[in-house]
Amino acid sequence: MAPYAILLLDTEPLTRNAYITLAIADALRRDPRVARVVVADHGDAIARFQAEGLDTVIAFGGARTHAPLLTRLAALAKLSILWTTEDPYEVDGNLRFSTAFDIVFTNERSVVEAYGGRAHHLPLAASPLFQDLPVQRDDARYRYDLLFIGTAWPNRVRSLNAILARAPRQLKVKLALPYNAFIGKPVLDDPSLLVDWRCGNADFARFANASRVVLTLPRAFSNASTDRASGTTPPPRLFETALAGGFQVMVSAEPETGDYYADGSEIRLCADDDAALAAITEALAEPERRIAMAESARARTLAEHLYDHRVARMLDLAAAPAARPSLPAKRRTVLCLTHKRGGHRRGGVEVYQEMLTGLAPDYAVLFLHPVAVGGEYELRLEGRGVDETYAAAPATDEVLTDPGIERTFEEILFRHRVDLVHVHHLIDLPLSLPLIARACGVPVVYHLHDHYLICERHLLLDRTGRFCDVVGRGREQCDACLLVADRYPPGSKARRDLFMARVVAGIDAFVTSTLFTGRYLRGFYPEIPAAKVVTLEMPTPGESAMPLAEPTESDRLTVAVIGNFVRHKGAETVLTLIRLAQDYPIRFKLLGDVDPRYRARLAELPAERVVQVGAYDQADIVGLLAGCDVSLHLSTWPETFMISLSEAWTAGLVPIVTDLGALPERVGDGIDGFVVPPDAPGAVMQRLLALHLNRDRLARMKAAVAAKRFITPESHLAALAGLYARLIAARPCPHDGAPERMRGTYALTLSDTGIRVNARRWTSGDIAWDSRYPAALAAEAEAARVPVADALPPEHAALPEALLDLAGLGASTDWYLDRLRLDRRTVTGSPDGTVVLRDMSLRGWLRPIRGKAPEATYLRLSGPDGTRYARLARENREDLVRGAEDRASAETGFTGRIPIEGLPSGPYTADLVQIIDGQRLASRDFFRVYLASNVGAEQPSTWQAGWSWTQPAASGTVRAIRQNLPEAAGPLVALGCDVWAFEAETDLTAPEAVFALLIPVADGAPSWLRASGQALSGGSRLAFAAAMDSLEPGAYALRFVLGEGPDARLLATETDLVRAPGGARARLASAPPACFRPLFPKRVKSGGSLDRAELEDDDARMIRCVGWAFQPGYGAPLATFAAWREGGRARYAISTAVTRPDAAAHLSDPAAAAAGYDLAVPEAAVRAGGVRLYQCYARRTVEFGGFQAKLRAQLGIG
Amino acid sequence: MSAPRVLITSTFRDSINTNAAIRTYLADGFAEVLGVDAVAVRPLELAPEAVLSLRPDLVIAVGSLVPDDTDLRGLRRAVDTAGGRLALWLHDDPYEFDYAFKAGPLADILFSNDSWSVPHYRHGNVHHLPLAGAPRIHLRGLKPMEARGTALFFCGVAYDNRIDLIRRADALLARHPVAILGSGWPEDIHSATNRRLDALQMADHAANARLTLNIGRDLDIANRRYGLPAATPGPRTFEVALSGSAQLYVVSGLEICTLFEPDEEILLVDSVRDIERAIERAYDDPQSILAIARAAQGRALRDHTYAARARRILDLCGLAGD
Repeated sequence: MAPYAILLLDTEPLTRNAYITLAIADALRRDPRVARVVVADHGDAIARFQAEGLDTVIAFGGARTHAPLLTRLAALAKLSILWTTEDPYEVDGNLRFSTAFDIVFTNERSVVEAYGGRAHHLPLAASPLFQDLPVQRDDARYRYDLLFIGTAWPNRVRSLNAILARAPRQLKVKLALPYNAFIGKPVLDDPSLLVDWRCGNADFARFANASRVVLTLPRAFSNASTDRASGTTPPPRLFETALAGGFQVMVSAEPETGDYYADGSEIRLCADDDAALAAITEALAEPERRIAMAESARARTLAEHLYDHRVARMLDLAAAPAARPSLPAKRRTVLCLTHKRGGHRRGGVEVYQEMLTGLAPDYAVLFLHPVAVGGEYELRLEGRGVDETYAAAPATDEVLTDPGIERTFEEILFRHRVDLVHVHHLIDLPLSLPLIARACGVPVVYHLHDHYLICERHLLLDRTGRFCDVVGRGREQCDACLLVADRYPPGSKARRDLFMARVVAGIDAFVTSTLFTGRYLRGFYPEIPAAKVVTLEMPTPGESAMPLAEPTESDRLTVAVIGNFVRHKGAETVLTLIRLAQDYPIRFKLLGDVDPRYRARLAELPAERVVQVGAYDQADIVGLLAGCDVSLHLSTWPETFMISLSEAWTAGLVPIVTDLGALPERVGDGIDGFVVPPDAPGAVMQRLLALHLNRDRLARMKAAVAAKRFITPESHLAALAGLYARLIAARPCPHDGAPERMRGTYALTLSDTGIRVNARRWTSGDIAWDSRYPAALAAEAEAARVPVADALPPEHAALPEALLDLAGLGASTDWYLDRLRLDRRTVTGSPDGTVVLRDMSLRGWLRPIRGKAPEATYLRLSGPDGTRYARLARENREDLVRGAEDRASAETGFTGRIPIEGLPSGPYTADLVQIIDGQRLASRDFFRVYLASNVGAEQPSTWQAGWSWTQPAASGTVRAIRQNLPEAAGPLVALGCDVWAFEAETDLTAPEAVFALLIPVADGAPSWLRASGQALSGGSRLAFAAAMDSLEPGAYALRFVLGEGPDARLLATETDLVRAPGGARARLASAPPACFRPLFPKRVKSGGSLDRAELEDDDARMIRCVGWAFQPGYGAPLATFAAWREGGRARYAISTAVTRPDAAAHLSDPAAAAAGYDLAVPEAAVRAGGVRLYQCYARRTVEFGGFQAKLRAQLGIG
Repeated sequence: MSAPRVLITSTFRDSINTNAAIRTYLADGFAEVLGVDAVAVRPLELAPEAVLSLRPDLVIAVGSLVPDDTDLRGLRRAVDTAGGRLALWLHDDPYEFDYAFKAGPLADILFSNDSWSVPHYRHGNVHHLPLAGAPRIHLRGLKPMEARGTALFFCGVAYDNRIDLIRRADALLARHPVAILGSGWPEDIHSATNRRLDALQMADHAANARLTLNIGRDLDIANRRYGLPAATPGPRTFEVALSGSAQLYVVSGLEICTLFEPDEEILLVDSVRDIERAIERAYDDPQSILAIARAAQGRALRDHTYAARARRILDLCGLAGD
């Protein structure tokens, strides 16, 4: 019996050589040792491997792309084979991840040794499937003299021009010279030739067969590529051409080529263009010899160089599949995927989810759910000892696919060693996630809590609030319903259904509480096998013991309405019913939240007949129902179970339910309850009277209720655990533990699974063409979070560092930062001190250095307390590839979101560091930010005008430890565009209410905002981040108020602040800075530059002056200010220190780096004359003469 | 055995279908083979209902799988209920091949217009079936060369490859009475005019041209995954042959040689110089060009009509009978 049942996977989801995989599959099927061959995609490889009982995996291409998935596939196989095709270019990645495979074959002979004995050389080959063409023996029937098909590298174009110019006659040539922007359009001496076309491999074979000579020219890489690795084994084109009956002339072929074909008798190997020309001339002149050589080459190929031969060698060397030892059963991990998680009674789903934690210790239960934060979504992963947050996207509703979330999901599945995904809901999540789980080999259970798989209106209520029986009546109304109710454009439902059908097909089991929901789902998706639907009764949390029904008052009937009082739970029917029952002693007890829309209507009802209990605790429900006789469950939608029905029965009540969904399945009409049509208060009234007026019947039915038994939570969990165990046994997930593979990249997206969608959302009618794909899917998506480490890993820390000057490269041609977002705000330009409260994310690329893509890319953050490293994720950037020779560019993308939580606050310099070719290449000072990590806010606060409370008396001080604004010889200066991040410490314990106050120096009420107070050992930290455009210009003193009311305490600070009115970062003052030495200032005529003087755009008619001034020999300047007289008094504009590295460089004096100024003086003073510029140094003040004249000159004032 | 009943529809809604005419061309072809009564044609919107009432043996949906808002599952369910077979004839390969995955669970048998796309399908029953010409629309009587007012005709969307070629030939073409029509032509190309033609006008223009240029398409809608180059010539090749114009086929593949005999039924060109020579020949030796046009028209009528494709479909579906 043939031992091999093989799964063959091309490891590159995007490939131009898919035909080779087909050729290998074709050859495998002919091998007598092979029983079956399945060619799979990344989306279904693991599932098919397991479902179809295969035993052998052949991964063709490389080991690095989607390594986690490949590693799992290899671990599942009895025999795993890797055949690499991109060595030596990708040998590093292949070496690292190939350890997952039993045996390795490489296309490249020169790297075999690098694999340390684990690899064998196996060149590519030819295939009868695509290239099997007999040699054309009639020389007159050849269509072309010369064929060349290859990328238009400049050396090739030169060779072609040289050969064609010196050919013995006008040759009939066929050339294909595809090019890209990097190498440029080829310029042939004969401009008439049409050379910009491409063809598939079968057509290539036809061309080779129809050409007298097939020319192969080497590729010479330009500029920085001299040390690029190059292979010695020829590409498959050599073998394909020979099988297609082509006669080959090869220029500068590797010597290894001679091992496959004999020079002179099968092909012609030429050292240079001259030799090639001679060989071509000879071949054209001697057709019989040429044709004979082509025949010989083809015969050699048929005998030695088909994929049949390669496959035979592969199977010769591979051991027969052997069963792998099964892993001992350990605790399994279940990931519950849901739309929300809550500890309070918000609905049955949330209550049920929490109950699943009872599966411990056999199962560790994790929860992954979206949370809306600051207008965007995060993904929260929670579980015992796990609390992680991932950025998701600005909006995730109605989304089919989101590459960023899909990558995150893959990472969670592998990193947390998830064995099974239990989907409770997909609201606000990409619908693709079950498909990603399937691709990763993780079985998926979908819990049918409602009908979301059928319709976005998951309760199946139409816009009038009535049940829409879509299965029974067909889908014609769907577009109209969604258009009117939700404004979804026509076609939306069809798009959703198409995708959801694929999702449904990938789910391993559907859990339904009663038969109805499963049947209804299968009515909509008839392709779901019945065996996939598992009916498992929902337990009643808390009480499971049945109390005896207590006798109730015989002259009165008490009716319980359990659950939230909302329309889809039958609120309208209940309200009508209450009025219908007004002449009878029937009382209603409402338990649960009341929809605000019903509060007023309920308030109009007499309190003695309607009692509102309000929200209740789950554990109290049976007690609250004491004294009730009947319960109402009048939902207008087809409920999938209804826990409140179980609760009513548990309390001994006789329920009346609507004839929809699971309810009529559960209630025996007239036995243990009544079933009535939906929206039928009259029918309900009749049942109430039947019980009220016939107490014997009420007693009989209560007795029937008392005899009912329900599944206990323990039994439910045991049954669920049984389902989990069955699915996990059928589709086990081997978890990789090899250290060298642990830092694999997680890059799996829906596109990689072989599924393409028109648009990101099913509500969009757009169809994204290739030119916008897959960017159109990810346009809104945020980068995945990357961790921050205190140090580089040892293998990267030990490398020498070199400087990479990005300024010397061309932005957008050599590198580009596609996106830099600080706190989810997109930043243009290079930030210089921007305040970050939460996170920063970036996405960009840098062209290959020396032809190589980086092994790793880091953002190095140097701050007040050392240096940290964030390793950015590699992003596949096919859009950067400029041709077949530029594959490395696809691997130069980097992306990541860096949360700042836990980083010391303060200013940071960010460097971009890449590990390339045994070096750390650092692009220093990439940008600068101020991390306000202790503020704990999502966004800056705004100053509130007027502090209305009494200011408490000062009772202490705080110590400012860090803030981001520059000072102007004392006070800080803020502009309207600034965010002020401030942090202080106090010995006092901060209460919950902490306020920051800015008290105007002039009269006026303080401005205030709410600050954060965080406990420290022996005190507390006070912090805030404030948007300064919310503060009126003026001078202020900062204070803090701790607490409210009479016990509040005022804490002083030494911080004074000036909110400058315009754009100049300076303050106006009536006194010079304290460092001013008025006696004998040194006066110099030059020593600076007034770069800019212009009238500010405001009513004050101030002239903004930007420049620098410096006097060598006095050290760094302490302050720069302008002085003038106004109304007989001296006035001063004191600048903050503006960093001017250009001045320091110009003067070769680092002290001059602080010599910049940015200040504003009144236009009137300039016109009046007498504006002077001073600079204070530690021991001397310097006046820079001619400032007034320069100002007037720039302003054109005579 | 009675003739099989065939229902022809489209793979997506008529509201966005610019190629709905192909449905009727194929219906004509089947009617020629099976008789009018055996053939029904419906837009997709009405097809499931028709399938349930007519219960055809074979349903053929023609078109593209790109639009996600197409309810082909409804068609599939109707065919399952009626007990027939569902065939998809996808005619935009390889430019839309990324959506080929959708065909898997839908079709019993698949036909692709492009031969190089065929082996790349993950489906067990896929066949190559080029589009064709519809005599009712495209067939024209052969005009004498002297009566033809145009030396060279081309009509089509100005894809990059077409712009490059026409721009390089512009000086040559400007010396002759040519009609380079279509949409998207840049202004710097003097010989081209932005003017669209319908199918009948196209046939009339070709019939009035000594030569018609045949340049392939270079625009992918959804072809990222494998980046498949096209191998099979487009439908204009067959339509123009029926219209009676000799064609200059710009060679980007040699499958053309299996459809028309080079030099006898079609002229292959690899350079602007080849085009120039052909135009000279059309005036110096017009009868030889007319002979090529005549031979091509005969070949198209014999092998490349929708009736011929209908026979092939019936054969591959095992419905050809005796």
